[in-house]
Amino acid sequence: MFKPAIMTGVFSELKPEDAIKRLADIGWRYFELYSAHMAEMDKRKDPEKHFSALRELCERLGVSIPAAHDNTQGVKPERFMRWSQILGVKWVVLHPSVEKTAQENLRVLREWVDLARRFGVGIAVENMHDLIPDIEGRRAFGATPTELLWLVKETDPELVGVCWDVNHAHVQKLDQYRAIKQLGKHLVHTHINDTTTDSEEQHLLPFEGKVVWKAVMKALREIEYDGLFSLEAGASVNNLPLPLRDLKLRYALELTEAMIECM
Amino acid sequence: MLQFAPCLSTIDLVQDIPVLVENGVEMVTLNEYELFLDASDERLLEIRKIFEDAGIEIHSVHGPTSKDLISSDPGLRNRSVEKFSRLVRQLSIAGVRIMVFHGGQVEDEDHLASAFPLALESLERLVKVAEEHHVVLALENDSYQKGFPRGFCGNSRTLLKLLESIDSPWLKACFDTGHAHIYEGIQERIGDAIRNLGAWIATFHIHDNDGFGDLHVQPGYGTINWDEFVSALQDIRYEGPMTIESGPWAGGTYRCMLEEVKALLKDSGADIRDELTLRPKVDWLKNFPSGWTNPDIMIRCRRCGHYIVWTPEGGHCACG
Repeated sequence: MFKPAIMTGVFSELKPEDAIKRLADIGWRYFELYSAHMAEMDKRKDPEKHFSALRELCERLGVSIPAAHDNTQGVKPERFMRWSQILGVKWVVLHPSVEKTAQENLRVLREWVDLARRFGVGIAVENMHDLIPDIEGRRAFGATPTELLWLVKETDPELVGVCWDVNHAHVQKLDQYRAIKQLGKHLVHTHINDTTTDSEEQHLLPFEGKVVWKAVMKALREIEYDGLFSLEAGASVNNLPLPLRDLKLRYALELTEAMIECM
Repeated sequence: MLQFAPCLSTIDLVQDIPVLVENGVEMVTLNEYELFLDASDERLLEIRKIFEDAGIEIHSVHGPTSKDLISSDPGLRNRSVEKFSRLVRQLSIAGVRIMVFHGGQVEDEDHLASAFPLALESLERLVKVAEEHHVVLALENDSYQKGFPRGFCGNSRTLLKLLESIDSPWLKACFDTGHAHIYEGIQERIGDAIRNLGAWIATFHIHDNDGFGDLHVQPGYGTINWDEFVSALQDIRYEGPMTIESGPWAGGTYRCMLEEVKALLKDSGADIRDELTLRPKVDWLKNFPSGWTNPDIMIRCRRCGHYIVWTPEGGHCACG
Protein backbone atom coordinates (compact mmCIF):
# COMPACT_ATOMS: atom_id res chain seq x y z
CA MET A 1 0.00 0.00 0.00
CA PHE A 2 1.34 3.41 -0.89
CA LYS A 3 1.67 6.14 1.70
CA PRO A 4 0.71 9.85 1.77
CA ALA A 5 3.68 12.20 1.55
CA ILE A 6 4.23 15.86 0.81
CA MET A 7 7.01 18.01 -0.57
CA THR A 8 8.43 20.41 2.01
CA GLY A 9 8.15 23.19 -0.59
CA VAL A 10 4.61 23.88 0.64
CA PHE A 11 6.46 25.92 3.27
CA SER A 12 9.12 27.23 0.91
CA GLU A 13 9.60 30.42 2.95
CA LEU A 14 10.45 28.46 6.12
CA LYS A 15 13.67 26.68 7.00
CA PRO A 16 13.36 22.95 6.30
CA GLU A 17 13.44 22.12 10.01
CA ASP A 18 10.50 24.45 10.65
CA ALA A 19 8.62 23.21 7.59
CA ILE A 20 8.93 19.62 8.77
CA LYS A 21 7.91 20.46 12.35
CA ARG A 22 4.85 22.30 11.06
CA LEU A 23 3.88 19.48 8.67
CA ALA A 24 4.42 16.87 11.39
CA ASP A 25 2.11 18.86 13.69
CA ILE A 26 -0.57 18.67 11.02
CA GLY A 27 -0.12 14.90 10.85
CA TRP A 28 2.10 14.33 7.82
CA ARG A 29 4.62 11.50 8.32
CA TYR A 30 6.57 11.21 5.06
CA PHE A 31 8.36 14.02 3.24
CA GLU A 32 10.11 14.79 0.02
CA LEU A 33 12.76 17.42 0.62
CA TYR A 34 12.22 20.42 -1.66
CA SER A 35 15.22 21.25 -3.85
CA ALA A 36 15.50 24.82 -2.49
CA HIS A 37 15.52 23.46 1.06
CA MET A 38 18.32 21.08 0.14
CA ALA A 39 20.25 23.97 -1.44
CA GLU A 40 19.73 26.24 1.55
CA MET A 41 21.11 23.61 3.93
CA ASP A 42 23.98 22.82 1.55
CA LYS A 43 25.13 26.44 1.81
CA ARG A 44 25.19 26.47 5.62
CA LYS A 45 28.42 26.30 7.55
CA ASP A 46 29.10 22.66 8.45
CA PRO A 47 26.13 21.28 6.50
CA GLU A 48 26.83 17.72 7.61
CA LYS A 49 26.01 18.70 11.18
CA HIS A 50 22.76 20.33 10.06
CA PHE A 51 21.68 17.36 7.94
CA SER A 52 22.43 14.99 10.84
CA ALA A 53 20.42 17.24 13.14
CA LEU A 54 17.52 17.23 10.69
CA ARG A 55 17.60 13.43 10.61
CA GLU A 56 17.54 13.37 14.41
CA LEU A 57 14.67 15.85 14.46
CA CYS A 58 12.70 13.58 12.11
CA GLU A 59 13.39 10.57 14.31
CA ARG A 60 12.18 12.48 17.38
CA LEU A 61 9.02 13.51 15.55
CA GLY A 62 8.41 9.99 14.24
CA VAL A 63 8.61 11.14 10.62
CA SER A 64 11.01 10.51 7.75
CA ILE A 65 12.30 11.96 4.48
CA PRO A 66 12.28 9.05 2.03
CA ALA A 67 12.71 11.32 -1.04
CA ALA A 68 14.61 14.43 -2.09
CA HIS A 69 13.79 16.48 -5.17
CA ASP A 70 16.22 17.07 -7.98
CA ASN A 71 19.35 19.08 -8.27
CA THR A 72 17.95 22.15 -10.04
CA GLN A 73 19.31 24.47 -7.32
CA GLY A 74 22.95 23.81 -8.08
CA VAL A 75 23.90 21.41 -5.28
CA LYS A 76 26.74 19.31 -6.64
CA PRO A 77 25.68 15.67 -7.28
CA GLU A 78 28.16 14.17 -4.83
CA ARG A 79 27.06 16.50 -2.04
CA PHE A 80 23.41 15.98 -2.92
CA MET A 81 23.82 12.22 -2.54
CA ARG A 82 25.87 12.55 0.61
CA TRP A 83 23.24 14.73 2.29
CA SER A 84 20.53 12.37 1.07
CA GLN A 85 22.33 9.44 2.64
CA ILE A 86 22.54 11.25 5.97
CA LEU A 87 18.82 12.06 5.83
CA GLY A 88 17.94 8.43 5.10
CA VAL A 89 16.55 9.30 1.67
CA LYS A 90 15.62 6.25 -0.39
CA TRP A 91 15.02 7.98 -3.74
CA VAL A 92 16.56 11.12 -5.18
CA VAL A 93 14.28 12.49 -7.89
CA LEU A 94 16.08 13.71 -11.02
CA HIS A 95 14.76 15.52 -14.07
CA PRO A 96 16.15 14.31 -17.38
CA SER A 97 17.67 17.08 -19.52
CA VAL A 98 14.81 17.57 -21.93
CA GLU A 99 16.84 19.21 -24.69
CA LYS A 100 19.70 16.74 -24.60
CA THR A 101 19.83 13.50 -26.54
CA ALA A 102 19.06 10.10 -25.11
CA GLN A 103 22.75 9.19 -25.07
CA GLU A 104 23.74 12.42 -23.30
CA ASN A 105 21.07 11.78 -20.68
CA LEU A 106 22.32 8.24 -20.25
CA ARG A 107 25.89 9.44 -19.78
CA VAL A 108 24.88 11.91 -17.05
CA LEU A 109 22.64 9.36 -15.35
CA ARG A 110 25.45 6.83 -15.26
CA GLU A 111 27.53 9.33 -13.29
CA TRP A 112 24.67 9.64 -10.81
CA VAL A 113 24.33 5.86 -10.65
CA ASP A 114 27.97 5.57 -9.60
CA LEU A 115 27.17 7.91 -6.73
CA ALA A 116 23.97 6.04 -5.96
CA ARG A 117 25.97 2.86 -5.58
CA ARG A 118 28.53 4.60 -3.37
CA PHE A 119 26.00 6.23 -1.06
CA GLY A 120 23.28 3.57 -1.16
CA VAL A 121 20.61 6.00 -2.35
CA GLY A 122 18.34 5.20 -5.32
CA ILE A 123 17.53 7.48 -8.25
CA ALA A 124 14.01 8.13 -9.54
CA VAL A 125 13.99 9.68 -13.01
CA GLU A 126 10.95 11.90 -13.51
CA ASN A 127 8.76 12.07 -16.62
CA MET A 128 8.84 15.42 -18.42
CA HIS A 129 6.57 16.86 -21.15
CA ASP A 130 7.03 18.27 -24.63
CA LEU A 131 6.03 21.83 -23.71
CA ILE A 132 9.03 22.26 -21.41
CA PRO A 133 11.47 23.13 -24.23
CA ASP A 134 8.89 25.80 -25.26
CA ILE A 135 9.70 25.35 -28.94
CA GLU A 136 6.86 24.32 -31.22
CA GLY A 137 7.37 20.85 -32.60
CA ARG A 138 10.33 20.08 -30.32
CA ARG A 139 10.14 16.86 -28.33
CA ALA A 140 11.37 16.69 -24.75
CA PHE A 141 13.50 13.72 -23.85
CA GLY A 142 12.00 11.77 -20.94
CA ALA A 143 8.38 12.61 -21.70
CA THR A 144 7.29 9.03 -22.38
CA PRO A 145 7.44 5.86 -20.28
CA THR A 146 9.44 4.18 -23.04
CA GLU A 147 12.29 6.67 -22.76
CA LEU A 148 12.34 6.44 -18.97
CA LEU A 149 12.31 2.65 -19.02
CA TRP A 150 15.17 2.73 -21.50
CA LEU A 151 17.22 4.79 -19.03
CA VAL A 152 16.36 2.38 -16.23
CA LYS A 153 17.29 -0.70 -18.23
CA GLU A 154 20.51 0.84 -19.60
CA THR A 155 21.72 1.65 -16.09
CA ASP A 156 20.72 -0.46 -13.08
CA PRO A 157 17.07 -1.35 -12.41
CA GLU A 158 17.96 -2.09 -8.79
CA LEU A 159 19.18 1.47 -8.22
CA VAL A 160 17.21 3.42 -10.80
CA GLY A 161 13.45 3.71 -11.07
CA VAL A 162 10.86 6.16 -12.34
CA CYS A 163 9.09 9.04 -10.61
CA TRP A 164 5.67 9.59 -12.19
CA ASP A 165 4.59 13.23 -12.24
CA VAL A 166 0.85 13.16 -12.89
CA ASN A 167 0.75 16.80 -14.01
CA HIS A 168 3.54 16.32 -16.56
CA ALA A 169 1.81 13.23 -17.94
CA HIS A 170 -1.46 15.15 -18.28
CA VAL A 171 0.20 17.95 -20.25
CA GLN A 172 1.90 15.30 -22.41
CA LYS A 173 -1.63 13.93 -23.03
CA LEU A 174 -0.66 10.43 -21.99
CA ASP A 175 -3.18 7.82 -20.93
CA GLN A 176 -2.22 7.75 -17.26
CA TYR A 177 -3.54 4.26 -16.69
CA ARG A 178 -1.63 2.73 -19.57
CA ALA A 179 1.52 4.71 -18.85
CA ILE A 180 1.66 3.72 -15.18
CA LYS A 181 0.96 0.12 -16.11
CA GLN A 182 3.89 0.26 -18.55
CA LEU A 183 6.18 1.36 -15.76
CA GLY A 184 5.01 -1.45 -13.49
CA LYS A 185 7.57 -2.43 -10.88
CA HIS A 186 9.97 0.29 -12.10
CA LEU A 187 7.70 2.99 -10.67
CA VAL A 188 9.30 3.95 -7.36
CA HIS A 189 8.01 7.44 -6.63
CA THR A 190 5.18 9.80 -7.60
CA HIS A 191 4.50 13.51 -7.82
CA ILE A 192 0.82 13.96 -7.19
CA ASN A 193 -0.60 17.17 -8.59
CA ASP A 194 -3.41 18.45 -10.79
CA THR A 195 -3.92 21.08 -13.48
CA THR A 196 -6.92 22.89 -14.93
CA THR A 197 -5.42 23.16 -18.40
CA ASP A 198 -3.96 20.75 -20.95
CA SER A 199 -0.99 22.96 -21.69
CA GLU A 200 0.46 24.05 -18.37
CA GLU A 201 1.56 22.34 -15.17
CA GLN A 202 -0.10 24.06 -12.25
CA HIS A 203 0.74 21.92 -9.20
CA LEU A 204 -2.76 21.92 -7.72
CA LEU A 205 -4.24 19.41 -5.30
CA PRO A 206 -6.00 16.34 -6.72
CA PHE A 207 -9.50 17.07 -8.07
CA GLU A 208 -8.78 20.79 -8.41
CA GLY A 209 -8.00 20.19 -12.09
CA LYS A 210 -8.68 17.87 -15.00
CA VAL A 211 -6.62 14.79 -14.19
CA VAL A 212 -8.64 11.56 -14.30
CA TRP A 213 -7.75 10.32 -10.80
CA LYS A 214 -9.75 7.15 -11.14
CA ALA A 215 -7.36 6.01 -13.88
CA VAL A 216 -4.26 6.96 -11.87
CA MET A 217 -5.43 5.16 -8.72
CA LYS A 218 -6.58 2.06 -10.60
CA ALA A 219 -3.19 1.74 -12.29
CA LEU A 220 -1.25 2.29 -9.04
CA ARG A 221 -3.26 -0.44 -7.37
CA GLU A 222 -2.89 -2.85 -10.25
CA ILE A 223 0.89 -2.55 -10.32
CA GLU A 224 0.88 -2.97 -6.53
CA TYR A 225 2.74 0.31 -6.08
CA ASP A 226 4.07 0.62 -2.54
CA GLY A 227 6.06 3.88 -2.64
CA LEU A 228 5.07 7.39 -1.66
CA PHE A 229 1.97 9.19 -2.93
CA SER A 230 3.81 12.47 -2.76
CA LEU A 231 1.88 15.71 -3.08
CA GLU A 232 3.59 18.41 -5.10
CA ALA A 233 0.85 20.96 -4.82
CA GLY A 234 2.60 24.19 -3.89
CA ALA A 235 0.49 26.36 -6.19
CA SER A 236 -2.63 25.29 -4.36
CA VAL A 237 -1.39 26.49 -0.97
CA ASN A 238 1.52 28.91 -1.31
CA ASN A 239 -0.64 32.04 -1.55
CA LEU A 240 -2.33 31.27 1.75
CA PRO A 241 -1.10 33.00 4.93
CA LEU A 242 0.64 30.46 7.18
CA PRO A 243 -2.26 29.78 9.63
CA LEU A 244 -4.67 29.28 6.74
CA ARG A 245 -2.14 27.13 4.94
CA ASP A 246 -2.14 24.73 7.89
CA LEU A 247 -5.89 24.31 7.39
CA LYS A 248 -5.54 23.45 3.74
CA LEU A 249 -2.64 21.10 4.37
CA ARG A 250 -4.78 19.30 6.96
CA TYR A 251 -7.46 18.98 4.31
CA ALA A 252 -4.80 17.81 1.82
CA LEU A 253 -3.73 15.05 4.21
CA GLU A 254 -7.29 13.86 4.73
CA LEU A 255 -7.93 14.01 1.00
CA THR A 256 -4.80 12.00 0.25
CA GLU A 257 -5.58 9.40 2.91
CA ALA A 258 -9.13 9.07 1.62
CA MET A 259 -7.91 8.65 -1.97
CA ILE A 260 -5.55 5.90 -0.91
CA GLU A 261 -8.19 4.17 1.17
CA CYS A 262 -11.29 4.53 -0.98
CA MET A 263 -10.33 4.92 -4.65
CA MET B 1 -14.68 -7.43 -42.20
CA LEU B 2 -12.51 -6.46 -39.25
CA GLN B 3 -13.95 -4.11 -36.63
CA PHE B 4 -12.04 -2.25 -33.97
CA ALA B 5 -12.90 -1.49 -30.37
CA PRO B 6 -10.78 1.11 -28.58
CA CYS B 7 -10.07 0.09 -25.01
CA LEU B 8 -10.94 2.47 -22.18
CA SER B 9 -9.01 2.05 -18.95
CA THR B 10 -11.67 3.90 -17.01
CA ILE B 11 -14.89 5.47 -18.18
CA ASP B 12 -17.04 8.38 -17.07
CA LEU B 13 -20.38 7.55 -18.66
CA VAL B 14 -21.47 11.19 -18.73
CA GLN B 15 -18.30 12.73 -20.12
CA ASP B 16 -16.76 9.95 -22.22
CA ILE B 17 -19.71 8.57 -24.19
CA PRO B 18 -20.27 11.83 -26.15
CA VAL B 19 -16.52 11.90 -26.94
CA LEU B 20 -16.68 8.33 -28.26
CA VAL B 21 -19.73 9.13 -30.39
CA GLU B 22 -18.08 12.28 -31.72
CA ASN B 23 -15.06 10.18 -32.72
CA GLY B 24 -17.11 7.65 -34.64
CA VAL B 25 -16.47 4.83 -32.13
CA GLU B 26 -19.07 2.06 -32.56
CA MET B 27 -17.53 -0.55 -30.27
CA VAL B 28 -15.46 -0.40 -27.08
CA THR B 29 -13.68 -2.66 -24.66
CA LEU B 30 -13.80 -1.64 -21.02
CA ASN B 31 -11.09 -2.36 -18.49
CA GLU B 32 -13.17 -0.97 -15.67
CA TYR B 33 -14.87 -4.18 -14.54
CA GLU B 34 -15.69 -2.36 -11.27
CA LEU B 35 -18.43 -0.55 -13.18
CA PHE B 36 -20.30 -3.87 -13.32
CA LEU B 37 -19.10 -6.02 -10.43
CA ASP B 38 -21.17 -4.62 -7.58
CA ALA B 39 -23.85 -2.81 -9.56
CA SER B 40 -27.51 -3.60 -8.98
CA ASP B 41 -29.44 -5.26 -11.81
CA GLU B 42 -31.22 -1.95 -12.42
CA ARG B 43 -27.91 -0.13 -12.76
CA LEU B 44 -26.58 -2.80 -15.14
CA LEU B 45 -29.63 -2.37 -17.36
CA GLU B 46 -29.19 1.38 -17.18
CA ILE B 47 -25.53 1.05 -18.28
CA ARG B 48 -26.61 -1.25 -21.10
CA LYS B 49 -29.18 1.32 -22.26
CA ILE B 50 -26.67 4.18 -22.13
CA PHE B 51 -24.40 2.34 -24.55
CA GLU B 52 -27.27 1.14 -26.76
CA ASP B 53 -28.70 4.65 -27.01
CA ALA B 54 -25.26 5.94 -28.01
CA GLY B 55 -24.97 3.24 -30.69
CA ILE B 56 -21.88 1.76 -29.03
CA GLU B 57 -21.44 -1.96 -28.44
CA ILE B 58 -19.41 -3.14 -25.46
CA HIS B 59 -17.31 -5.73 -27.24
CA SER B 60 -15.67 -7.10 -24.10
CA VAL B 61 -14.75 -6.32 -20.51
CA HIS B 62 -11.40 -7.12 -18.94
CA GLY B 63 -11.74 -9.02 -15.70
CA PRO B 64 -9.93 -8.31 -12.43
CA THR B 65 -6.49 -9.58 -11.55
CA SER B 66 -6.47 -13.34 -11.85
CA LYS B 67 -3.31 -14.22 -9.96
CA ASP B 68 -5.24 -16.25 -7.38
CA LEU B 69 -7.08 -18.27 -10.00
CA ILE B 70 -4.34 -20.91 -9.75
CA SER B 71 -3.26 -20.18 -6.19
CA SER B 72 -2.06 -23.14 -4.14
CA ASP B 73 -4.34 -21.84 -1.39
CA PRO B 74 -7.83 -23.33 -2.00
CA GLY B 75 -9.47 -20.44 -0.14
CA LEU B 76 -7.86 -17.79 -2.35
CA ARG B 77 -8.62 -19.83 -5.46
CA ASN B 78 -12.25 -20.18 -4.47
CA ARG B 79 -12.60 -16.44 -3.79
CA SER B 80 -11.09 -15.68 -7.17
CA VAL B 81 -13.47 -18.06 -9.00
CA GLU B 82 -16.42 -16.61 -7.11
CA LYS B 83 -15.42 -13.05 -8.05
CA PHE B 84 -15.09 -13.98 -11.72
CA SER B 85 -18.37 -15.89 -11.61
CA ARG B 86 -20.14 -12.88 -10.19
CA LEU B 87 -18.68 -10.67 -12.89
CA VAL B 88 -19.82 -13.09 -15.61
CA ARG B 89 -23.37 -12.92 -14.31
CA GLN B 90 -23.25 -9.13 -14.12
CA LEU B 91 -21.84 -8.81 -17.63
CA SER B 92 -24.60 -10.98 -18.96
CA ILE B 93 -27.24 -8.61 -17.58
CA ALA B 94 -25.35 -5.66 -19.06
CA GLY B 95 -25.38 -7.36 -22.46
CA VAL B 96 -21.62 -7.96 -22.62
CA ARG B 97 -20.75 -11.19 -24.38
CA ILE B 98 -16.99 -11.56 -23.79
CA MET B 99 -15.00 -11.42 -20.56
CA VAL B 100 -11.24 -11.36 -21.09
CA PHE B 101 -8.99 -12.60 -18.29
CA HIS B 102 -5.56 -13.98 -17.54
CA GLY B 103 -4.82 -17.54 -16.53
CA GLY B 104 -3.25 -16.85 -13.16
CA GLN B 105 0.22 -16.24 -11.83
CA VAL B 106 2.88 -18.82 -10.95
CA GLU B 107 5.06 -17.99 -7.97
CA ASP B 108 7.97 -20.43 -8.36
CA GLU B 109 9.08 -23.69 -10.00
CA ASP B 110 7.07 -25.86 -7.60
CA HIS B 111 3.96 -23.82 -8.21
CA LEU B 112 4.52 -24.02 -11.97
CA ALA B 113 4.63 -27.82 -11.74
CA SER B 114 1.27 -27.94 -9.98
CA ALA B 115 -0.45 -25.05 -11.79
CA PHE B 116 -2.08 -26.89 -14.68
CA PRO B 117 -4.57 -29.01 -12.65
CA LEU B 118 -5.32 -25.97 -10.46
CA ALA B 119 -6.09 -23.93 -13.58
CA LEU B 120 -8.29 -26.71 -14.96
CA GLU B 121 -10.24 -26.91 -11.72
CA SER B 122 -10.91 -23.15 -11.66
CA LEU B 123 -11.72 -22.96 -15.35
CA GLU B 124 -14.14 -25.89 -15.25
CA ARG B 125 -16.12 -24.08 -12.57
CA LEU B 126 -16.04 -20.82 -14.49
CA VAL B 127 -17.08 -22.39 -17.77
CA LYS B 128 -20.28 -23.71 -16.17
CA VAL B 129 -21.15 -20.17 -15.09
CA ALA B 130 -20.24 -18.79 -18.50
CA GLU B 131 -22.47 -21.32 -20.25
CA GLU B 132 -25.36 -20.53 -17.93
CA HIS B 133 -25.07 -16.81 -18.64
CA HIS B 134 -23.98 -16.99 -22.28
CA VAL B 135 -20.76 -15.08 -21.81
CA VAL B 136 -17.61 -16.26 -23.58
CA LEU B 137 -14.52 -16.42 -21.38
CA ALA B 138 -11.49 -15.30 -23.39
CA LEU B 139 -8.24 -16.44 -21.81
CA GLU B 140 -5.37 -14.14 -22.69
CA ASN B 141 -1.75 -15.02 -23.45
CA ASP B 142 0.55 -13.37 -20.90
CA SER B 143 3.58 -11.25 -21.51
CA TYR B 144 7.01 -12.86 -21.16
CA GLN B 145 8.75 -12.21 -17.90
CA LYS B 146 12.00 -13.70 -16.77
CA GLY B 147 11.87 -15.52 -13.45
CA PHE B 148 8.97 -15.56 -11.00
CA PRO B 149 6.26 -14.54 -10.36
CA ARG B 150 4.96 -14.63 -13.94
CA GLY B 151 1.79 -15.29 -15.88
CA PHE B 152 0.93 -18.95 -16.35
CA CYS B 153 -0.33 -18.71 -19.95
CA GLY B 154 2.83 -17.31 -21.42
CA ASN B 155 2.72 -18.99 -24.81
CA SER B 156 0.19 -20.43 -27.22
CA ARG B 157 1.01 -24.03 -26.28
CA THR B 158 0.03 -23.67 -22.61
CA LEU B 159 -3.05 -21.73 -23.62
CA LEU B 160 -4.02 -24.30 -26.24
CA LYS B 161 -3.51 -27.18 -23.84
CA LEU B 162 -5.90 -25.57 -21.36
CA LEU B 163 -8.50 -24.77 -24.02
CA GLU B 164 -8.38 -28.26 -25.52
CA SER B 165 -8.57 -29.88 -22.09
CA ILE B 166 -11.75 -27.99 -21.20
CA ASP B 167 -13.04 -28.10 -24.79
CA SER B 168 -16.02 -25.77 -24.41
CA PRO B 169 -17.40 -23.13 -26.78
CA TRP B 170 -17.57 -20.87 -23.70
CA LEU B 171 -13.83 -20.87 -23.12
CA LYS B 172 -11.79 -19.35 -25.93
CA ALA B 173 -8.61 -17.32 -26.34
CA CYS B 174 -7.93 -13.60 -26.48
CA PHE B 175 -4.72 -13.24 -28.44
CA ASP B 176 -2.64 -10.29 -27.28
CA THR B 177 -0.15 -9.08 -29.90
CA GLY B 178 1.95 -7.00 -27.51
CA HIS B 179 2.45 -9.85 -25.06
CA ALA B 180 3.24 -12.26 -27.89
CA HIS B 181 5.76 -9.84 -29.40
CA ILE B 182 7.84 -9.90 -26.22
CA TYR B 183 7.88 -13.68 -26.54
CA GLU B 184 9.10 -13.47 -30.14
CA GLY B 185 12.68 -12.94 -29.02
CA ILE B 186 12.41 -15.98 -26.70
CA GLN B 187 10.40 -18.57 -28.56
CA GLU B 188 7.41 -18.36 -30.94
CA ARG B 189 6.61 -15.85 -33.67
CA ILE B 190 3.29 -13.98 -33.49
CA GLY B 191 2.10 -15.56 -36.73
CA ASP B 192 2.91 -19.07 -35.53
CA ALA B 193 1.16 -18.49 -32.19
CA ILE B 194 -1.99 -17.23 -33.95
CA ARG B 195 -2.01 -20.16 -36.36
CA ASN B 196 -1.44 -22.52 -33.44
CA LEU B 197 -4.51 -21.22 -31.61
CA GLY B 198 -6.57 -20.88 -34.82
CA ALA B 199 -10.32 -21.12 -34.30
CA TRP B 200 -9.91 -20.98 -30.52
CA ILE B 201 -9.34 -17.25 -30.80
CA ALA B 202 -12.51 -15.37 -29.87
CA THR B 203 -10.98 -11.90 -29.94
CA PHE B 204 -7.71 -9.99 -30.13
CA HIS B 205 -5.96 -7.35 -28.09
CA ILE B 206 -3.81 -5.44 -30.53
CA HIS B 207 -1.10 -3.08 -29.37
CA ASP B 208 2.59 -2.58 -30.05
CA ASN B 209 5.90 -2.38 -28.19
CA ASP B 210 9.65 -2.54 -28.65
CA GLY B 211 9.88 -6.30 -28.15
CA PHE B 212 11.16 -5.91 -24.58
CA GLY B 213 8.58 -4.07 -22.44
CA ASP B 214 4.80 -4.44 -22.45
CA LEU B 215 4.40 -0.82 -23.51
CA HIS B 216 0.84 -0.90 -24.90
CA VAL B 217 1.52 1.64 -27.62
CA GLN B 218 -0.74 2.12 -30.60
CA PRO B 219 -0.24 -0.48 -33.35
CA GLY B 220 2.31 0.80 -35.85
CA TYR B 221 4.43 2.74 -33.36
CA GLY B 222 6.43 -0.26 -32.16
CA THR B 223 8.30 -3.08 -33.83
CA ILE B 224 5.59 -5.70 -34.48
CA ASN B 225 5.54 -7.04 -38.02
CA TRP B 226 1.90 -6.26 -38.87
CA ASP B 227 2.18 -7.90 -42.31
CA GLU B 228 2.88 -11.18 -40.54
CA PHE B 229 -0.02 -10.56 -38.15
CA VAL B 230 -2.49 -9.95 -40.99
CA SER B 231 -1.20 -12.95 -42.91
CA ALA B 232 -1.88 -15.17 -39.86
CA LEU B 233 -5.36 -13.62 -39.45
CA GLN B 234 -6.14 -14.55 -43.02
CA ASP B 235 -4.83 -18.08 -42.53
CA ILE B 236 -7.19 -18.67 -39.60
CA ARG B 237 -9.99 -16.72 -41.38
CA TYR B 238 -10.56 -14.40 -38.45
CA GLU B 239 -13.02 -11.65 -39.29
CA GLY B 240 -14.37 -10.60 -35.90
CA PRO B 241 -13.81 -7.51 -33.79
CA MET B 242 -10.52 -6.72 -32.13
CA THR B 243 -9.66 -4.47 -29.21
CA ILE B 244 -7.04 -1.77 -29.67
CA GLU B 245 -5.54 -2.07 -26.21
CA SER B 246 -3.61 1.18 -26.23
CA GLY B 247 -4.42 4.81 -25.90
CA PRO B 248 -4.24 6.93 -29.05
CA TRP B 249 -0.61 7.71 -29.90
CA ALA B 250 0.75 10.95 -28.40
CA GLY B 251 -2.28 13.17 -27.93
CA GLY B 252 -4.29 11.81 -30.86
CA THR B 253 -8.04 11.26 -30.80
CA TYR B 254 -9.91 7.97 -30.98
CA ARG B 255 -10.91 8.84 -34.56
CA CYS B 256 -7.30 9.43 -35.42
CA MET B 257 -6.25 6.12 -33.82
CA LEU B 258 -8.97 4.18 -35.62
CA GLU B 259 -7.98 5.66 -38.97
CA GLU B 260 -4.28 4.97 -38.45
CA VAL B 261 -4.84 1.38 -37.32
CA LYS B 262 -7.23 0.66 -40.18
CA ALA B 263 -4.79 2.12 -42.68
CA LEU B 264 -1.89 0.16 -41.19
CA LEU B 265 -3.70 -3.17 -41.32
CA LYS B 266 -5.29 -2.48 -44.71
CA ASP B 267 -1.81 -1.82 -46.09
CA SER B 268 -0.84 -5.23 -44.70
CA GLY B 269 -3.69 -6.84 -46.61
CA ALA B 270 -6.54 -6.87 -44.08
CA ASP B 271 -10.14 -6.75 -45.25
CA ILE B 272 -11.08 -3.18 -44.33
CA ARG B 273 -13.67 -1.19 -46.26
CA ASP B 274 -12.42 2.37 -45.62
CA GLU B 275 -10.22 3.87 -48.32
CA LEU B 276 -7.24 4.60 -46.14
CA THR B 277 -3.52 4.00 -46.48
CA LEU B 278 -0.31 5.10 -44.80
CA ARG B 279 1.56 4.86 -48.09
CA PRO B 280 1.53 8.02 -50.19
CA LYS B 281 1.06 7.84 -53.93
CA VAL B 282 4.31 7.52 -55.87
CA ASP B 283 3.35 10.61 -57.94
CA TRP B 284 3.25 12.66 -54.74
CA LEU B 285 6.61 11.31 -53.58
CA LYS B 286 8.17 12.31 -56.89
CA ASN B 287 7.63 15.96 -55.91
CA PHE B 288 10.54 15.63 -53.51
CA PRO B 289 14.01 16.40 -54.88
CA SER B 290 15.25 13.04 -53.62
CA GLY B 291 12.72 11.36 -55.90
CA TRP B 292 11.61 8.67 -53.44
CA THR B 293 9.73 5.88 -55.12
CA ASN B 294 9.77 3.18 -52.44
CA PRO B 295 6.10 2.04 -52.30
CA ASP B 296 6.45 0.94 -48.64
CA ILE B 297 7.45 4.35 -47.33
CA MET B 298 5.31 5.85 -44.57
CA ILE B 299 5.61 9.46 -43.46
CA ARG B 300 5.26 10.91 -39.98
CA CYS B 301 4.44 14.52 -39.16
CA ARG B 302 7.34 16.29 -37.47
CA ARG B 303 4.99 18.34 -35.33
CA CYS B 304 2.61 15.71 -33.87
CA GLY B 305 4.68 12.60 -34.52
CA HIS B 306 1.73 10.77 -36.10
CA TYR B 307 1.66 8.92 -39.40
CA ILE B 308 0.10 10.77 -42.29
CA VAL B 309 -3.05 8.92 -43.32
CA TRP B 310 -3.95 9.13 -47.01
CA THR B 311 -7.49 9.09 -48.36
CA PRO B 312 -8.54 9.68 -51.99
CA GLU B 313 -8.79 13.38 -51.04
CA GLY B 314 -5.22 13.67 -49.75
CA GLY B 315 -3.17 13.23 -46.58
CA HIS B 316 -3.79 14.32 -43.01
CA CYS B 317 -2.34 13.66 -39.57
CA ALA B 318 -3.36 14.24 -35.95
CA CYS B 319 -2.60 17.95 -36.07
CA GLY B 320 -4.06 18.82 -39.44
